[in-house]
Amino acid sequence: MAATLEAASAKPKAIKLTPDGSSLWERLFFAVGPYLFLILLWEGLRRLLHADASTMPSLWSAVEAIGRVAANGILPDYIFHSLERITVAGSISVVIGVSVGITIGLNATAAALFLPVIRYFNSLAGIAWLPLFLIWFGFNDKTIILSISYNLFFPVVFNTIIGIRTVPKVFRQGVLTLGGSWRDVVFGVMLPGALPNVISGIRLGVAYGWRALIASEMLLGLGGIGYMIFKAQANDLTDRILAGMLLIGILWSLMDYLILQPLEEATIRRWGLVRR
Amino acid sequence: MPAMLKSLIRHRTFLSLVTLVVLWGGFTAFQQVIAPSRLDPALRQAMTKEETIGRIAVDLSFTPEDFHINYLQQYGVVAGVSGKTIFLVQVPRNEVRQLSELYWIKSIRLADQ
Amino acid sequence: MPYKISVRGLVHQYYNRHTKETVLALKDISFDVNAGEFVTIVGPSGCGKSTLLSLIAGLRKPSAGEILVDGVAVSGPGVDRGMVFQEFAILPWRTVQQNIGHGLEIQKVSKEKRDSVIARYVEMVGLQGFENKYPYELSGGMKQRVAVARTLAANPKVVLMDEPLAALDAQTRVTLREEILRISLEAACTILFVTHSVDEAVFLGDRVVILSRHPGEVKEIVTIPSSREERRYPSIHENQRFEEIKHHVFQSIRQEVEMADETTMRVE
Repeated sequence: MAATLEAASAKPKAIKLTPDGSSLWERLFFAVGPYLFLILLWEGLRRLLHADASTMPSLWSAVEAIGRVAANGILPDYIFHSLERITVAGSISVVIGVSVGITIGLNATAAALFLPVIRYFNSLAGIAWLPLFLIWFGFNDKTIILSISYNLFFPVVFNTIIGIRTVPKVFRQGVLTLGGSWRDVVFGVMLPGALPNVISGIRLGVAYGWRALIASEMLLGLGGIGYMIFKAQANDLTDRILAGMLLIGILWSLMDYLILQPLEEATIRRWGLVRR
Repeated sequence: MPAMLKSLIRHRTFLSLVTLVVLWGGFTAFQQVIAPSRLDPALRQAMTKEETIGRIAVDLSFTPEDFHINYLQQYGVVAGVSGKTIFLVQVPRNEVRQLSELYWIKSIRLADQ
Repeated sequence: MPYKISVRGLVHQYYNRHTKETVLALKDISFDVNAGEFVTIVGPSGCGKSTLLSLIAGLRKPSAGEILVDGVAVSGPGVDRGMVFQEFAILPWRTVQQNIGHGLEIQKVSKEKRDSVIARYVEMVGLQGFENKYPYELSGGMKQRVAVARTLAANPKVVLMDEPLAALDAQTRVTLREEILRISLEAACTILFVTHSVDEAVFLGDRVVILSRHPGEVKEIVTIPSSREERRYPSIHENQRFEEIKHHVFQSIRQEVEMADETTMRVE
């Protein structure tokens, strides 16, 4: 009895996910260390295997390649295309995905009707649709956007459903006993309550969509970062392939760090899911 | 509310986007300013007289790739590529002006018919 | 004078999907609550006391019997029966004052009117200076104060409290008992309060309804002779009469527990 009381009142120790190193050196080490390791690994392997530049170019030559594509106008144009596509596809999928998720989350009949179908289509990777999209829309931006939207849609839907379903029952009951109507519950409790999950779903969805973007750009030949690396392969520009791969990661990290992560942080903090 | 506004202005997203817009805007403005210097005097002369320029040579500082040829295709008919130069025919003069604002183009001159 | 709340022959049974059995949770419950009265309900765990409260709130439908509030039969949840939950149930994305004003917002009360009501209840529950804080910035005790203020601000006819102090630490619980007693007198409302703590039931109630073990029935209703104004911790423990009543209620429940062969009853 006493033991359980004690256990219940004792605050759980915070688990350190990131070392909150106080010294600048420590912070620098954790920020740069892993990348430094990968760089050394790559360069080490190159020397070990006596690889030539056309199979394993040095990272420095990849950086130089980035400089070249920036100087000759390819890079800004392709980055613009890729970002435009992910933005358009993201907007479409978020609007549809959140609406569908809310409907399924709130309505058991809709869930029974549509959830199995959505699960089925989720198993079909977006890239599997590409041949059909090509027949329907041709070598066109629509095909790329549709295939990104397809991949982005599912995490958004599933997370929205989870968000709606995990809103605590007492929140609903509380509003009902305040005289709230069905509308007050949906718009005042269910939607705001699901928001943190919806945002997480969007973040995950955009990550999936970004991969689909690269894959479909490679196949369609309409510009974009994905096309850049595909084309570089045909032209034997291995350093440019490496450059493109670096850029894909860098662009994603920037999007995540500057747009998606702040959104998630803002909702999660305010919703009290993390304690500062 | 002002506190919220303040934290929004100081937010990394806001700061980065503003920096990006300012840098890109500044760069584009700079390109517009130096654009006339990319045009050969003879071409500039021709542009005052004619609506459409018959044949121009676009000089680049690198060997053109498909990207550049396709890109210039939007402005006129590509009549050939020689070394670091792309030849365009039937280019309206305001499109020549637009071309001169592209930072990766070294110079544009009149080409022999 | 008609009763504020009348519970008449209330039966609640439900179908358990896992055991595939129909379970009788409450069997023939009847009691009345007068206007302005503070009635507490105690009973062994699993006796259905929380179910009883949610039936009165209209969050569940009884299998038989009826509930009248001011003579009108309850058919669903409504603003006349406010409820405070064990899990606080205040919305984490609303500030303290937004939570307290939620009921008024639903009733479409004007902003100025709302602000003055919010200010009154913020003061009543002692949360001045915390108006713009979010729930995660508050302790459990403070959250429950917000929940109480939110319920009272909607101006219900009766306030239903479902073990509101059970999730709090012992010290806060004792403080909040006194607070609830003070607020009940200040707001002059009718309160129905469910608890598993005998001490709490006897300390707070004008009358204590003791429920029998599962399926719940009204075993006994004990009237507390002292008025609510007089009760204070810890002096209440020196009151011989209070201790006797407490002992009586405790024994009454323990009989139930022993009969049910359970040993989980908690008494502080």
